[in-house]
This record gives sequence, C-alpha cells and structure tokens, in this order.
Amino acid sequence: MKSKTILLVEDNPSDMGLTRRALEKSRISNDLVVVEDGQEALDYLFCRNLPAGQSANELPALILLDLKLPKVDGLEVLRQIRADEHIGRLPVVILTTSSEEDDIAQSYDMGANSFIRKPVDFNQFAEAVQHLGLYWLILNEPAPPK
Amino acid sequence: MNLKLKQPQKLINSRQKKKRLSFQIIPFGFNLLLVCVFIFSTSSRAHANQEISAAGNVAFADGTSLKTIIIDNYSPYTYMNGVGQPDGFSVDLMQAVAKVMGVTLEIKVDTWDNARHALDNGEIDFLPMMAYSEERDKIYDFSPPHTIAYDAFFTHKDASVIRSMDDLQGKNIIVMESDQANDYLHSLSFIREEQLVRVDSLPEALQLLAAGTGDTALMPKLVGLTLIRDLNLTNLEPSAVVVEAYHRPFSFAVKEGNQAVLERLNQGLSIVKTTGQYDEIYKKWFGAFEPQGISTEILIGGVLLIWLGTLRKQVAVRTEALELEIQERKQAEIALRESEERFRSYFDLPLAGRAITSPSKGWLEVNDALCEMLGYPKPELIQMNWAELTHPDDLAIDLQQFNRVMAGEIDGYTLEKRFIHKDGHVIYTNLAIHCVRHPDRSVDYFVALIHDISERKQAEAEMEILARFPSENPNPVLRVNVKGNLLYSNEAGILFLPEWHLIVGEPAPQILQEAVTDSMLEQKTKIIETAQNEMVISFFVVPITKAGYANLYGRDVTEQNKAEENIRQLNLKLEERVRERTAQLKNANKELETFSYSVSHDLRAPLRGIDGWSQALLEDYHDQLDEQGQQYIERVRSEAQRMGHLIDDMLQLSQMARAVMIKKRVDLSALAQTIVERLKMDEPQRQVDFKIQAGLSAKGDSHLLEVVLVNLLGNAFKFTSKQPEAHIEFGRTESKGQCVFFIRDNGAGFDMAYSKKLFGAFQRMHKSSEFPGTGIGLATVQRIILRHDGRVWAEAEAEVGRGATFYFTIEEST
Repeated sequence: MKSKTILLVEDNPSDMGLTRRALEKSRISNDLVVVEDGQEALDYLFCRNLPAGQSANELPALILLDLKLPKVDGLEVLRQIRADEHIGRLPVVILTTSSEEDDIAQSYDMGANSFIRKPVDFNQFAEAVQHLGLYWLILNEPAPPK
Repeated sequence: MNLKLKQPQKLINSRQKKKRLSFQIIPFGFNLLLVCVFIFSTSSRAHANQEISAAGNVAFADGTSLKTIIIDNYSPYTYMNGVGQPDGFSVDLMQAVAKVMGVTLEIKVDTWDNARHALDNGEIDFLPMMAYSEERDKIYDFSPPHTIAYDAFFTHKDASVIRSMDDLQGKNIIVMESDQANDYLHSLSFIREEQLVRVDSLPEALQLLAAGTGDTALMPKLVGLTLIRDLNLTNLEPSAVVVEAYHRPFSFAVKEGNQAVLERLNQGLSIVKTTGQYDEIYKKWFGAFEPQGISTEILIGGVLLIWLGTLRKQVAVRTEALELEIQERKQAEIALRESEERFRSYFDLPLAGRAITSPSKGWLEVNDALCEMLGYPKPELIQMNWAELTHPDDLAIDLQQFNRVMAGEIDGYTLEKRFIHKDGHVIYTNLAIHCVRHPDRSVDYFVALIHDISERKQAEAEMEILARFPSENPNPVLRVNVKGNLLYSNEAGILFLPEWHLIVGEPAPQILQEAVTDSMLEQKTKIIETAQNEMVISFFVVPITKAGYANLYGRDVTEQNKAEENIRQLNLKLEERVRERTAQLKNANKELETFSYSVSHDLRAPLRGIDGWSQALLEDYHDQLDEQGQQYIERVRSEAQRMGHLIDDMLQLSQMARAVMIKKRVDLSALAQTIVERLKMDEPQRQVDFKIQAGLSAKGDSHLLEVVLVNLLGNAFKFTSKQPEAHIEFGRTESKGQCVFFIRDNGAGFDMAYSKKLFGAFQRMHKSSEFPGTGIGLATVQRIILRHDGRVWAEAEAEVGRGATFYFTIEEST
C-alpha cells in the first residue's frame, strides 16, 4: 500500500529542510508535500489551480501547519479545514516557533489535534518530529473520511 | 337766703333725730353755695314741759342757772372783752336765749380743749358753739345751727396764696388743737403729720404766722379776720375763697341724752329768732363784715314757730316732698361722686398720658404717666404750657389744628407729634385732643390723651433701614406673585435686565412666571439663568407660598460661567489627551506583543537553522572535518542554543509582566515537591538533600508562583552542583509579624556587595563556565512577587561559597 503523504505548510526554507531531514532521520517514508504559504495550502487541500491534466490532489495523512505564514495565516487555514465537510477530520499538528499562550489556546479552539513548539536544539527537534510522525502516522487510527 | 323748714313728729328718739339733723351742702362751682338749714322747733312749750316733768328731770327747772364755758379770742363769736367780760355773737345769743327761757347763765372762760372735757364730765350743761360733725354727734346732742362758719387759709400778704389743696404741699400749717381744722387736715392723705403746727388758741396761731413760723394758718375766716384786726397783724391776709371741703355749722351742744337742756335751748332759739332779737345780734356782730362780701358766705337759717295744728298737715306734706328731694339729691351726689371717681381712676391710669389743658395751652391737670413721659414733676409741669414742650418742627401743625378747635371748626383732632423731654431727648407721641365747650361755644378746656410711641417709631425706623437691604443689593432682587405680576424689583434688577422691561405691577417675563409657578407648585427652590446686557444672571426662585409670591435672588454668574466653561474645555482637552495617550500605550503594547512574538517566532527560527545545519554538517561531513573543525561546529551549536535560552527567558519575563493573574490558594509545598522531582530527574546522578516544609500555601496565581519556585529552586539546584553534599530547604519563617517564605542552599552563594543587583535583568554573579545562565530568572521572580504585592530579597553568608537564602513574602492563604 502506498503510504500517505504528509503536508508541510512552512515558509522558512531552513525549517523546511530541517523538518524533511528530521523525518528522514526518523525513517518516516511518507511523501512530504511542502507548500510555502496559507493560500497554497488551501489551494492544495481544496484542489484549486491544479496543473493541467491533474484531476485532484491526494489528501494528506497529516498536516504539519506553521502559524506564521504569508498571505493566509495558519489559524485561518485551520479554520477553513475544520469548516469543510470533506477534509474536516484531517489531523492537523501545529508546528511552530511560538509558545504564546494565545496561539496555543486559539489553535486548540480551532480544532488543532496537537501543538508542537519547534525547539532550537536540532536534536530535540528531530526527536519531536520522530515522535509525532510515529504517533500520527502509525499509532493513531485516523478518523474515517466524511 | 333759702330757708327750709322741717317739722319733726317726735324728739324722743335721739337716733331718729340724728338723721333729721343731717343737712346738705352741694357745691356747684367755686362761689355758689346752696345751704339748707333745718331748724327744729318743739311742738309746744307746754307739751315740752309736760314731757320733761314726765321724764322726771329735776336737774333742770325754771329759775335755775345753766353752766357753760366760752373760749377767749374766738372773736366775733366768743371772747373776753376789754373789761374782762365774756362777749361776742354766741355770748349775746345764749344770753338772749337764757333770758327768754327764764334761766341764768354761769359763764366761765377756758381753752377749747378744757371746755369739751368739762361738758364730757358733766361739769357744765352746754357749750354755746360747737360745729356739728358725725363724730361729735355720737357723744353730744346739737341744737339746730345758729351760724355757719367757713374756714380760710391765712398767709403772709407777700407769700403765695393758697388757692387749692395742691398748694399745701410742703407747707407748714398752723391749727388749733382739737379744732375741726386740725381734724380736717389730719384726714387728708397728702398732708404729712410734720407739716402741722398745733397751738392752743387761734390768736396764738396767727401771731406765730405773723412772726414767721409756718406758712399758713387754717381757721374760721371771720374769727381770723377779727383777730387780725384786733391784734393788728397787718401783714396777714386770708385767701379769697373759703375751704369748700367742710364748714362749721355752729350749734348749742349738750351732752348726749341731755334732752331737757337741749329742749330749752331750742325753744329759746326759736323765740329769739321769731322776735327779731337774733337778727339784731347777727347784725351787731357780723354786719361789720358785710361790705367785705362775707355775708354771702354765711347763711343763717330762720326759725319759725309753728303753733297751730292746722299748719301741721301742710308741713308734713312739705316734709315728705323735701325728704324725697333729699333722697334724689343724695343719689345725684352719689352718682356724681362715682362718676368723678371713675373719671379720676381712668385719668390716673398709667397706660397713657392724660391731661386737661386750658384754651391758653396751659396744663390744668396731668396724670403721673404724662409727668413721667415728659420728665417733669407734676408741680413743675403745671407751670408750663404744652407749646413750649412741643418739638419746634411739630408746633406749627399742632397750632393749626388747635386754632381750628378754638375757631369752632372742629372739636378735636389727633396728631403724631414730638415732645421734648426734660432731659432734651425727643419723645414721639400720638396725641388725641377733644375740647369741652361753654354754652357760648367758646372752649372751656381740652381733654388730651397722649401715647408714647417712641419705641414704635424706633422700630419703624429700624424697619425702614432693614427694608433698604434689597434695594441696596447690587444683585437683582425681584418678587413675583402667583398671578405672574412683578411686585418688586430693586434698582439692580431694572438696570441689569433691560431685555425684560421690568415694570412693577405689570406681568413679569414668561420665563419668570413659569419658574414662579413651578416653584410654588413643587414647593421647591428653582434656579433659572438669563443672559442679557453681556451678563449671565442666575436666579434662585424661592417660593413664599403663604404670602402668595416668590422672591427671586439674582446673582451675576458671568465670570463663574466663564471659569466653568474653561474648566470644561480643559477637561475635554485632558480627556482627549488621555485618549491619545491610551491609544499610544495600546499601540506600544501591541508593538511590544508583536515584538515579543517576533522574538519568539522569528529569532528562534534562524537559531534552529544554525543549530540544525551545524548538526547536519557534523553528521553528514564528519569524516571531512578534523577534530578542531568538529569542535568549532559544536561551539556554534552551543552558542545558538544559549541564545535560544536567552530568548526564552526574555519572553518569559515579558509574559510574567503581562499575564492575567487569577488568584487562588496555591499549595506551595506540593508545587515545590513536583519541581524538585523534575530537577532530580534532569540530573539523577546528583546527591541533593531537599527539605520541603509541609503545608505551605499562599494566595496567588498558580502559574506565576510556579515560575517563582522553578527559578529559585532551579538556582539552588544549579549553585549547589559543586557541593558533594547539597542541602536545599524550602520553608517558612516570621519576620516582623509577617510570614516570609525562604529557599536556602549551601551552594556557591554570592557577594553581598552585589545583592541589590541580583534581581536586575541579565545580571549574573558567576562565570558562565562555572554556572551557566541568562541572568533573567531572578528578574522574573521579582516581577512576579511585586505583582503579588510582596517583597523578595536575598542573603548570603559573608564567606563566599557558604550558601545563600532567598526570601519572599506573599499573601498567605488561610
């Protein structure tokens, strides 16, 4: 069975690379789809502006969502996901640098499944990514699609 | 001469007789005397004799003599003449009576006093002259009077004449002992005993007076005149008028009950009268004084003997009519007296000044109240006239009215006029005058009623001054009645409120009418404002419901309003500035939040990149780096991580200041225990002895207090890391009655010289190589404790390396 994709919404190329590296180090082999702003993320999820010949995008098994994004911010992206009938139950993990209480609270209020603060120490970061990958992609039984 | 007769039915009853002896003297005016003299006659000589015989009175019979005493020097009545013989009118009269009655007289001479004693004791049978009085009637019986004498006051010719009883005040008066004059003066209340000079005889009295002792002598006028002539006392004279108050009806007097002698004397008197002898004797003694006008003062009753029974009935009828007349006169007299008493008591009432004044403006009579009012003693006031006591400014109007009365135009008038008090001050009076006129319409006298209204005048003057308050008020004062008409406006009102066109009596402006109506309906003071004449005037509208109007007290509030407007403007500006500042602060806060967010989010990302890619370099290119190269990469990583910690701590510090506090009871002991477990887990290889006092609790925000304990316990844990046996204690103590928490360790401690810098941000006491840290932890602790209104401080042992104790206070949870 083809393993499902992970959608990473991240505008920082460095973090993008480190995340990919961390996932690889954790032997999580799922395809990583990266989009660099909120708008792109929504386009991808709602299959807008598809390249010619492509009928639809595969829905990801997990969305790693940064909050601070160009154009449409992470919370808005989360709101639209949860508001949608079709993709509303996708697991969304907020992966961000912020540890503001407001951000955490709002994220959960919007229906985030988890909130991970990116540590500065790469080893710790890698460890965190490994844990969440294992948890959401392997241990966790995904919700049935609507 | 007016002769009235009376026929008694019986003469036995002396009590009855006394009544019939009464006579009437009714004075009308000064000189008019109406004298009624009743001379009694016996029924018949024979009848009398029989009665006497029947009474068995043997002491008296024809041929016997009657003993009597006369007093000397009572000329022309009785005296001892030049040859030592008794003489005078009474001597002649009693000798004539004795002669017709066939008796002889034994006449002695003595003083009046002794003569009366002799009669009392029965030593003599009768006295030829005794004036009748009720007192004497009790011990003597009297014949009808044979003469009536009137008394007069004698004075020196150059001395002031005694005209009225008032003139006697302060005068020394000479009288004869036991004389009726003495009795009379004695009975007068205003004559003091020490004024009376008593002598034994009348000549003595006049001689004393002539010699300069005493002011006046009172005695029968005829006797006095005769004595003056005989004694040649030319410097004396009698008053022109006789004393009206009493007179002397001279009679023969016997001892009470000696009817036999009295009967004889009465009969004899009747006979000498009838035969004309009486007239001869009278003429002989009193004729000399006729030219001097004395005859009018003496009225002699005639004697009529009625012998015939036929006349008796007529007499009886006449007597009845007379008795009736007497009764009427008595009643008239009583009524007159009562009327006079009433007038007198009214006149003397101290409520008001009363006076009787003459057409020549003199005071005829004044009462005490008037004397007191004007300040003059009565005698002094009587000498003055009212014109000279009148205030000069009021005299003209008073005289004008007075003259109208005199001219017969009016009978009286009232006047407010001023008198001048004796001491000079002005007396305000209310004067009411009424005149009493003669039959020819000329004024006889005036009756005046004078009220002292000085106090009322003074009160009026004060009222007038008080009444000027509103008019002198520089602020408008108005009065508007319930109908909306202006009752009053002071000058300020007219002046400052030109737009209202205020006219007293006319309707007030609408705004005032409405305010007055409202205030009176609601019974409340209202405030209204008007702006005119470049002024703003505020009115207090005060309802006076009882009086049916409202008073309006105005006040110029122009300046006040300006000042208030200024304040309002200033307040507006201030509010505007506050809003601006608040907005700026909000902005700044927003920026700070944005900044914090950026710090936490954006600054950490590159650090993670540095660290991550350094790690990637180490992992992926390990073989191509020598040992030193690898160490450099590690250094890069640790610096990046340290900066990450710095950023985290800074963020925490700012978050602690901004976080919303939710205060509740926090179990500090349990909290500390959790933290300690975490620390132990972090470094399980270390041997640390933690002592945590049980049951410590405080009231505060649990999250913030956790940060405090994390920092303090973490510090203790860190700074004891070089101690082989580390001791860390969390407990509670008391300081100055306040609960203090402490965390004590035996770690590195610090230099007390820097204890104040301990809590500043980024302040570090130790080298990073020894004890890593950012220097922000204690700053965070202090900020949290301050937000809990507590205090935090630290102590270290003097010797560095002997540990430190951190104290903090916080509201303890009970």
